[in-house]
Amino acid sequence: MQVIRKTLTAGVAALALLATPAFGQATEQKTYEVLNLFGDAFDRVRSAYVEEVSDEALIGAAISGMLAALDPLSRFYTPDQYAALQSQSIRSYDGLGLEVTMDGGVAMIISAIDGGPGNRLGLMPGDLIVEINTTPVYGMTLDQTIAGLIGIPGTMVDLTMVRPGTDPFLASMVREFVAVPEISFSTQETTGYVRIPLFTDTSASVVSDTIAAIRQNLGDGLEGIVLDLRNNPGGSFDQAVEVASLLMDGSKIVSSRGNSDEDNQNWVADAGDLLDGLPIVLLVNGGTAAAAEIVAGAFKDSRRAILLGENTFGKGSAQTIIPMGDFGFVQLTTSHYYTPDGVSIDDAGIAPEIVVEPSLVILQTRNFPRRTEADLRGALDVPEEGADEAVEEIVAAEDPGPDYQLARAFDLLQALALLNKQAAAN
Amino acid sequence: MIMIKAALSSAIVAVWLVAAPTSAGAADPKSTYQQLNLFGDVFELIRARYVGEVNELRLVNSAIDSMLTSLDPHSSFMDAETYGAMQERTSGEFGGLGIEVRMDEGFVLVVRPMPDTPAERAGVEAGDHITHLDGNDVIGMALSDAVDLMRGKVNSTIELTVEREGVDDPMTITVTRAVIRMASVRYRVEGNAAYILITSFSEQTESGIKRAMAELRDELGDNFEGVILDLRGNPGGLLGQSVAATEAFLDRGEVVGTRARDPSRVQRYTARRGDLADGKPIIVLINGGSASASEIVAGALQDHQRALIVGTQSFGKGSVQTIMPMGVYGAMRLTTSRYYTPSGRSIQGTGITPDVVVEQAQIEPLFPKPPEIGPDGQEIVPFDTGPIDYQLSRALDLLHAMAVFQGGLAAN
Repeated sequence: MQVIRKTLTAGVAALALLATPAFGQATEQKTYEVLNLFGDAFDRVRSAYVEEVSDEALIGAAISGMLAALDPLSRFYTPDQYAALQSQSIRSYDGLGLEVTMDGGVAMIISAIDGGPGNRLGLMPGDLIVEINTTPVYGMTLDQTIAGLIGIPGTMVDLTMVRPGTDPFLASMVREFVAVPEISFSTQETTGYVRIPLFTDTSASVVSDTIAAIRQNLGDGLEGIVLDLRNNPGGSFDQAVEVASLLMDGSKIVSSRGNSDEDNQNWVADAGDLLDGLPIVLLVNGGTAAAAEIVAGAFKDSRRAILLGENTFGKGSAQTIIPMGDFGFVQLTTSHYYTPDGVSIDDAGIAPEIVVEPSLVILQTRNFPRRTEADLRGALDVPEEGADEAVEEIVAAEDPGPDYQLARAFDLLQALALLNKQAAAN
Repeated sequence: MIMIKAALSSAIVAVWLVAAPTSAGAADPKSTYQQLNLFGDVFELIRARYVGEVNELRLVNSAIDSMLTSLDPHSSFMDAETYGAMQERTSGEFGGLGIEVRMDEGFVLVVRPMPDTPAERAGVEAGDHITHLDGNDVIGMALSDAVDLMRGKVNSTIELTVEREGVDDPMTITVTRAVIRMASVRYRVEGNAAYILITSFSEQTESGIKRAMAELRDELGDNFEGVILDLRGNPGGLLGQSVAATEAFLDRGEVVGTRARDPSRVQRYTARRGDLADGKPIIVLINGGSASASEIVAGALQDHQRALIVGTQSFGKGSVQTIMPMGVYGAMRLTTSRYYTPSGRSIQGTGITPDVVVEQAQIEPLFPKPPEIGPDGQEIVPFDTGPIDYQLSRALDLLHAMAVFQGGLAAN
């Protein structure tokens, strides 16, 4: 069993030739040798493994391993797995409402979906999951990690978390049904606020209706909107492009580039802007990923919006599903997305023009205790009611306070509106 | 973000033609040739279409490793670097720190520093969390990668950043690497018994047992009542050394048999040499951490009724791995056979059941003796002998009883 085959000895000789100037040929030769290595390993497993194994199982595992070496989203589907994938109409966030990716062998949170247990517990973009119910995540694929996170509502999950700069901590949560989060909006004086937590199949039409509703509420008084894409992990690419197109007047949105012509595409906005050029402040953070970053990149490079908040996640690749006869399907990362100015989204993320970290505002004005009748000497006794107040104070202390980033966005929008008015007056 | 595209690049068209004839009979299992072709096609597809840089050797290494790890938990692929490091380690040129570690909440936890090693001398303590190795964050590292970083050339140094309970700031400890010899066999006299602890089956096991038996019998003389062979927590090791360890206490008979997939390929290992304990009673201590080679020893001595097995059920790993070198590319570790005890039992999944089940326990006297008061009126604090090893004390009692009984039989 320890015999080294002649083909391998020949392989060593061929490798030595690599140093010669015939580079193209040597590269081909090397490819051939590397494939031979696989054939040799396959052959030995078939002949020497303690049990009989099917060729299909061996090759399936080998192909999965080869694709997993590329990135977490490149993978192989058997025909059955592919059929199961097709029948899943809505992406399920059942469980903890966490969008994750793999990073350095462990799971990294991209964002915690609005209203999910992970979001309520305060899990943040960039937090690392190193253990799920004490099972190490290291060595798991993305699919295996997700399978460990999702589950029947009501069941418990303990996640061992690592957040840079803090001690590891345990996040214990009960899984629940996490509904696909919906677009919401509000108006405040002369401005509108639109929150898109995820791009779903209906996002473009809902955004269109939302803008119409805001315009109806505020009429001519509308001075601009705040578009909130914080913790939006992406979702539907087409819908994100469509939403960008609704608010941009005919400029470039995004392009994809890869090795093959079919991987190189451009998307351009239709003419016309639902807001007729009114200012937009776009809120982003580290949980703004993928499709949401395409909108952020398009708005930034075309100067359609001012970006405020924190650097986005940096996840902008496109996968192509390629059929492999009746063996199954390969899902392969074939292109990266680029902003109109040619910045790769699958890299450092989109930097906001105005960096605002989430902060707790502590007013510096001294807060003197209010004097009341009861404080005056010789005042009549008042019935004691103090016990409940102490409890309320503790609750209040846990409240993270007003949304500082959002407050800054509104301020900025008002300043922009003022500038617009001045420009119009001149 | 998944786009489905129907078109195929030119590289794939060739594949398509190969696969096409079989499409008609989809239920037919595909031939080996077609399966290998599929692999080649996916490889070609990646080369042509993947958006990033492609390292072909890395692709194939990952494919082989994935193929092997899909088989069982003990089969895997070592690439050239890993295999080279393994060979250098066994050659003794590589140094280590002398700590037993495991992963804990993403950090490396020091289970204990081994006595008289660089780590112990530098002040590393059990319970320390190592957060950085030479300034590199260990978070997200596999334990094996962290261990690789701790190993290195003898006399080279490494800087450990350590967090210790009760100490607020992380400490930096510099340790100089040295050759760490994992003593395979440790031994001492316990009562009138030769106590032999085998921590793992390495090349030094056979000679270690011989030395232990010679020294302990010399020390005990006529008082020698028997042997306690402690295999608790012993994860296994070399098959040949487990055979040698068993032979040391058997006069004849089969020790173990291995069977490959091909039923004609059965290999039997038989005891040849004399019994170093001259027929005196033997007790083998096992627990859930006793695996593989440990189970061969326990199983053989149990089947030949040469030893009484005491403790708890063993781990149950009944397979043998072969290291297969793959030229300059590394080596495969592949499960090639199962082994069976002399009576034909497979250990796989079930393990060895002790003859006398003794769970490890903490023993506290119900009526502790009152503290002794010294002449100065102060309480005498007894020298701390550490916690009582309950399983070992039960084994010693049993061995003593067996020796007394055997002595009685001999006298009649």
